[in-house]
Amino acid sequence: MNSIHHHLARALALVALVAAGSIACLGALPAPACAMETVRCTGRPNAEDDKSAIQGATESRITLETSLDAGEGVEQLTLHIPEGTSFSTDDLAVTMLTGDDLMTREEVSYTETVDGQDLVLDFDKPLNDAGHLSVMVYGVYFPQAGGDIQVAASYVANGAEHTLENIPTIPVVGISGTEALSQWLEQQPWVQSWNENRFLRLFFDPTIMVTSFPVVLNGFFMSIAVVALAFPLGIPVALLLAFMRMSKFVLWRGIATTYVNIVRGTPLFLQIYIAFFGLPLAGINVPNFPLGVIVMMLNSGAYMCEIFRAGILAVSKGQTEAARSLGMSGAQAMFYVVLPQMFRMVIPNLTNEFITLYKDTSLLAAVGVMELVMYARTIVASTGSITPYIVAAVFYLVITLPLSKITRHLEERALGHRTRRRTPAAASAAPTSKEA
Amino acid sequence: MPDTATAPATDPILSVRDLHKSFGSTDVLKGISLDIRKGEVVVVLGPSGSGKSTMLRCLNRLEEPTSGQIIFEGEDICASKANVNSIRERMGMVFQQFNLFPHLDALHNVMLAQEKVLKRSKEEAERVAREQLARVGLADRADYFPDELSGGQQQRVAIARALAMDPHVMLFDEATSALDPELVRGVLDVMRELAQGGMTMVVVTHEMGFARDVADRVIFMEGGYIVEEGAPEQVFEHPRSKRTRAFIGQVAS
Repeated sequence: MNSIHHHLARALALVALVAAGSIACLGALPAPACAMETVRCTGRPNAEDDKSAIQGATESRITLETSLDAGEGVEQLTLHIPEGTSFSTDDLAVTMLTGDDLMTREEVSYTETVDGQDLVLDFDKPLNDAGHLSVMVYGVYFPQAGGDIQVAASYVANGAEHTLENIPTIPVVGISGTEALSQWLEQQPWVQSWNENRFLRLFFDPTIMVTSFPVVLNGFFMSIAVVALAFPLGIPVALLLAFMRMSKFVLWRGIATTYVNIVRGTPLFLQIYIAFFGLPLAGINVPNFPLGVIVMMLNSGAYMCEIFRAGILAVSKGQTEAARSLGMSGAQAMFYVVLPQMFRMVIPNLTNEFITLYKDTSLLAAVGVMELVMYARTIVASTGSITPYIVAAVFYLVITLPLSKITRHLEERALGHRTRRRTPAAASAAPTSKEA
Repeated sequence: MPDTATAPATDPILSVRDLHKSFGSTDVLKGISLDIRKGEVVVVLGPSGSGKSTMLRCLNRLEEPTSGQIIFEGEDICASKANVNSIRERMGMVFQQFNLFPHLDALHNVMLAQEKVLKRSKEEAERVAREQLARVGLADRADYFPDELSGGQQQRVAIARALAMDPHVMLFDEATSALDPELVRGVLDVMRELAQGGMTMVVVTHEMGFARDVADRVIFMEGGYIVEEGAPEQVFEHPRSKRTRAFIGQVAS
């Protein structure tokens, strides 16, 4: 919406400028005395999503059109293209448009020389016809950052040098580095042949990979934010549920058991739907993000409850007895003796639960929480390529693969023995120890 | 407390009256009565399943007695208003399986209850812990974790842990039964020293040699009853009951 306004305003300004220029010319000077005048100086729109925009670091074309009077005798035209904009002279097109309606096209013969940013056209014959001279420069790349590009020009007519006045600037939209990289990739032969394969183009288009990366990265941060809140908040919920399930009071046991059974027995997807569509109907409006966190927290609380309960039961009864025999209360024994051992034991299971929870944040996409899949989906919708989903998959793997590896390591370590720094006697007794 | 008198003449520090304990329909203790005086070392012998460990665990209410009375330092510990935590503070217990806290090193195993139960400062608890570890010969193992210690060392740390609470009575529940034979001695030496230092001890064991050398009194249990009770020489050399005689004959052979 905003950008349409933006471009409209810019187009209007351009029209106004050109109009003002011609009015000034017509008003100030009589036609025969009027020398070569700027008619237009434009860049060719080259943006994919906005058909009227000219963007940087993307191939474009500069068209400079000037008006000539009869007998002007223009011998040479010099275009100065500003620093930062590159151009090619390969497909240079220089044409005279003559006749009443300027419909007669005539190729102009010339010799071109390039001097830095100056493009010099020496005409074989001085131009003496009344009409419009059009110069098209191809292979133009405007600066990536964009800005208003001012092309300057001067000409030699009848031996005298003149400056071409009133050349409008070309408004260029800046693009990001990744967009620029994507456009660069698009030009590469290997990318082009890669993309000729339908499968590769659909799933692994390098240009879309590059452009979707920063967008999907936002989604990655959102997904991380959801689990980074939901997981730690789920731990106290789970502990509370675990204690309730092991309570000697039937009521507590009943409440916790019912809750755990319901949450574990129904799909998380359904729980998300109920929370996101049910609560607003009930008049409770919680913003998407916190609601997503709460649902994930309550869900993983139920799963972690079972992990904790199993962990507490796995700590030998003798530990509690030893603690109690030293005069500790039941709560002290639980807190200082049982729970620390329980946590150490359940770390692999907790890591797995974290991995599951992280992957399950994708379900929140269904209710409009902006997370990884949701961000990827927006680009899929605009490009028609599946590649952003593949990028999203990579973002999941970046977290899940190392964590699974750590889990495996922890499980192995739980079976084996601790290696830690020891006195020389102990170290020599254990030759596998790394420290001397 | 009349603790100025010599040991045998004082009132019992621990007195058990008609103690019964059943698990479901199984009667494990069928009426145990026992007095233990301050400074006395009582060794409880008997075949497995005779109820000796259950009896010991009832003394600090790790097992809830079904009926009967246990008076410890003048207080009925089975009373509903009895503060079981403060009673346990004054009764150290050593288990067959050591039950050291595996997530803490030896030093912190000994420090934990001092800080949490006795509310000793960290410095005080550490000082006491090092003292007790030195007493059981493990001053140089303070920063070892239980799984880095041998069974015998673990059991000595467990003894130090109990002693750090300044208990008035120490209960030993088959403290050497889970140890490899070559490690038993170190633990028994610590127990022997403790006995010589005047600690009141109730020791459930199969170590006949220890019973003979250290015990002031030996109790022989079978089938939930005390079958025989007396000085070690008397029980070992002239057992009155033929079941005692059979048991001693079996173990000695």
